[in-house]
Formats: sequence, C-alpha cells, structure tokens
Amino acid sequence: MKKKNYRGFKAWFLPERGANFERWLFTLHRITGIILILYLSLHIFVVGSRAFGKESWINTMKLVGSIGEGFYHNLIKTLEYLLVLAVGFHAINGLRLLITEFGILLGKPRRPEYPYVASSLKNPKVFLYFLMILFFVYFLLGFQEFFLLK
Amino acid sequence: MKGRFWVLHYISGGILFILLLGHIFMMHFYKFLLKLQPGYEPMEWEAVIERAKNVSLVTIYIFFLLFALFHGLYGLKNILIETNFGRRFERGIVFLFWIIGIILFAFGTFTTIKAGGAG
Repeated sequence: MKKKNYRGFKAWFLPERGANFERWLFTLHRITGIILILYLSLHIFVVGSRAFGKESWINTMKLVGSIGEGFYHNLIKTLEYLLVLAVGFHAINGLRLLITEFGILLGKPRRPEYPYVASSLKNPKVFLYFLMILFFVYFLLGFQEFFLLK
Repeated sequence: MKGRFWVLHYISGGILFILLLGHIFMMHFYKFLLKLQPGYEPMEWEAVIERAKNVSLVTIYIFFLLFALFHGLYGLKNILIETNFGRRFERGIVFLFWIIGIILFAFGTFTTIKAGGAG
C-alpha cells in the first residue's frame, strides 16, 4: 500500500502552510456545498408531495414547519434563513472561483515600473471586495425578508 | 469519460448561479415581492398548481434539477475522494452516486410532471 497522503477533512481546518482569507473561503465553500446537496435531496421529496394532492402538500408543509406558528415554525424559518445565506455564499464565492479559473480580470502584462503593483494580484482582491459588498446586500435583503417584513 | 466532468461541473455551476438565485428570490423573498406585486403568495396551493401547469417553467425546473444534482453529487464525490477512505472506494462511490442521482432525478421529474397533470 502506498503512503497515505490524503489529509481529507483535516486539511480544511488545519491547512498545512497556514491559511489566507481565500483558503478559509474554500473551507466554507465546501461546508456550504455539503449542506446544499443534503438539503436538495430532502427538498426533492418535500416539494414532491404536491404531486399527491392538496392534503398531502399542506400536511407536509405543516410537518416541516413551513406554515404554522409557534417556536417550531420560527426555528425552521431561522434555519431557512441560514440556508439562504449558505446558497448566497456558495453562489457568490463560486462566481469568484469561475472568474479565477478562466483567468478573467487578471489584466494585461506590462513593464514593471516603480512602484509596481501586479494587476494579476490587485484585480482579484478588488473583485473580492466587490463580492463581499454584494453578499452583504444579499444578507440584509434576506434579513429583512425573514425577520422584519410580515 | 473520467477526467472530463470537471468542465461540466464549472458550466453547471455558472448556470446554477442564475437559476438558483432566481429560485431563491422567487420563493423565499416573496414578502419583498409582495410589496411590488400585491397578492403574490408562492407557497399557497393554488399558486403551486398554477406554476406546475406552466410548461416552460416546468421545463426550466427539470433542467435546474438535472444541473443541481450533477453539480452537487460531483462536488460531494470530489470531497470524498480526497480522503483515504474515498480514494480506496472511488469506483464504488461514483457508481453509488450515479444510482442516487438517477433515483432523485426520476422522482423529481415524476412529481413535477404529475403535479401539473393532476392539478
């Protein structure tokens, strides 16, 4: 058997060479990804109940706490908000990964004149700040939707 | 085929960015939309059935399901094969995920189409 070299889940939380901000985004991206695929598997069956009539739909909605009142309903709504945030994070960070993968926004190479800041290092950072603002807006919109509007 | 699916993973990711955020906005930001369009209630039975009868929406949702399942299961497979356990049983995991994906897609498509027909 070859030497075991796969650090697996351990590497998400204890990166070997320390970690920068993007590395933690990677960890969060994977965690939210797992949450989303597990949710999707359940979601297919929950919303699938509408194929079996109105009774079935309403009973299922009550069972999962999507309609109704009280502590359980509020708990489910809060978890749903967290899920919506997970979706937003995964989508927005995924957009960053796509942009990085295809080398968009790296800028053209130019003669390194003093004081030289490589555009390939600067542009992705600026884009990251833009995406953080975008996520913040999404966060606020979701918060308004789930907790303020009625 | 092995080693080529990552392209599909990126393409489906790009498509899901649009579809999933649209879905979230339509279904979960409905109080916000209610202000723009009074009477908008996405989770009411009548609204659900009305959407289920909309052929173009149903078609989009079936593709949405296909992309989401592929993207999700492929991503989960990628995570698993980075562990010692996953590396050892890679072929088994791929096979299992194909089965799970086909079952979930079949059930999702069946209910989506049946909901529109039974209305």
